[in-house]
Amino acid sequence: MRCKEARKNLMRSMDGRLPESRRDELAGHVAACPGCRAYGRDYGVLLGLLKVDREPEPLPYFQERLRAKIAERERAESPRALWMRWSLRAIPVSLVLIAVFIGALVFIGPPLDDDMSQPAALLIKNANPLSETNALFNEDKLEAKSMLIMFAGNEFASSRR
Amino acid sequence: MEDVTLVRQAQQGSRGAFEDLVKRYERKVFHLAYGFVQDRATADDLAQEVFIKAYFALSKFHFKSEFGTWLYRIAVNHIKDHLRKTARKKEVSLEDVAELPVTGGDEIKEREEMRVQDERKKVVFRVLAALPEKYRTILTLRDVRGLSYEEVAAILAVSPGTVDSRLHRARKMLRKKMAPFVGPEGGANEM
Repeated sequence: MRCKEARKNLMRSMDGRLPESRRDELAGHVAACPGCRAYGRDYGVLLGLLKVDREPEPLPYFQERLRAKIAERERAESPRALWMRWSLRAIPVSLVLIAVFIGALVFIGPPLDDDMSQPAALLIKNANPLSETNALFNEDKLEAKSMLIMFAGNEFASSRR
Repeated sequence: MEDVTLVRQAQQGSRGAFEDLVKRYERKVFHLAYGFVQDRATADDLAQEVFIKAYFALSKFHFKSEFGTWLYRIAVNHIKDHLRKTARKKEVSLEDVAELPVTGGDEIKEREEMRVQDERKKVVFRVLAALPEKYRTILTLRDVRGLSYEEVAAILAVSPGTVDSRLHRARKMLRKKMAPFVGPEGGANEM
């Protein structure tokens, strides 16, 4: 075993992660190699120094201070947070509304000319049905009156088609 | 009550549940921060900021890992950000190590030994603070805080194999930087 590998295994051994099958080989190397022995011993000392033996406590009123900070942050961030929350929810809602609007246009849009009643058609064309009727009644000549009735009948038939 | 239950309640808006989680992890997060910064007030500030971050990010926790691991990950990232902002890499000299004074009496001797040990600790932590960030992080998690390889792997989002190799490189570097204090390297079968 080379020193490089032995030192890696020394560290694993300190962490309790060296397989049992390799322990004898490592022990043999360390016994014969003063450099690796010193390496292991020195890192053991360093590990001891790295361990925190007197752990301090957090400063007093940790919870209370945290609660106050969170409340303060919530107040500061609430308009933004509200906007973020609503803007995110607004996307699907807007999509649904657009879909409903398009659906309404397609399925229940304004009726086509073919389906219109005669008064509705006259209304769309901005024509006054009463003016035509009045003209019929105001006509003095019987022949002309008959002609007007005939034209009105034809017009009605064609508008029904 | 289990973490999972408390987290669910906190996600539904229970302040009490979140405060229970804080009580449970307050010291752990504080000690983690203390392991990095070695200063009580700074560690306390960092721990508070970690919990504030966690509170506002709680809705993004999807139970894919343990709550503690998730919290530690937030803590490690936040502490690393803090260290980057306040990076001051101090060279350590032999003069940083206090010399053993000549004293009389067992009690005085014992007190002096403790003081020297404290000074040695300070030197090691100063050397640790000057290491590259990834080595400093892994050494703090493993050798200072004593977390298992699996916990370190989960917090850093790397495999245990990566922890093993990175830890070895970090320890080697720390040992090398500490050579003036602990003696030079060298082996009979050095490559």
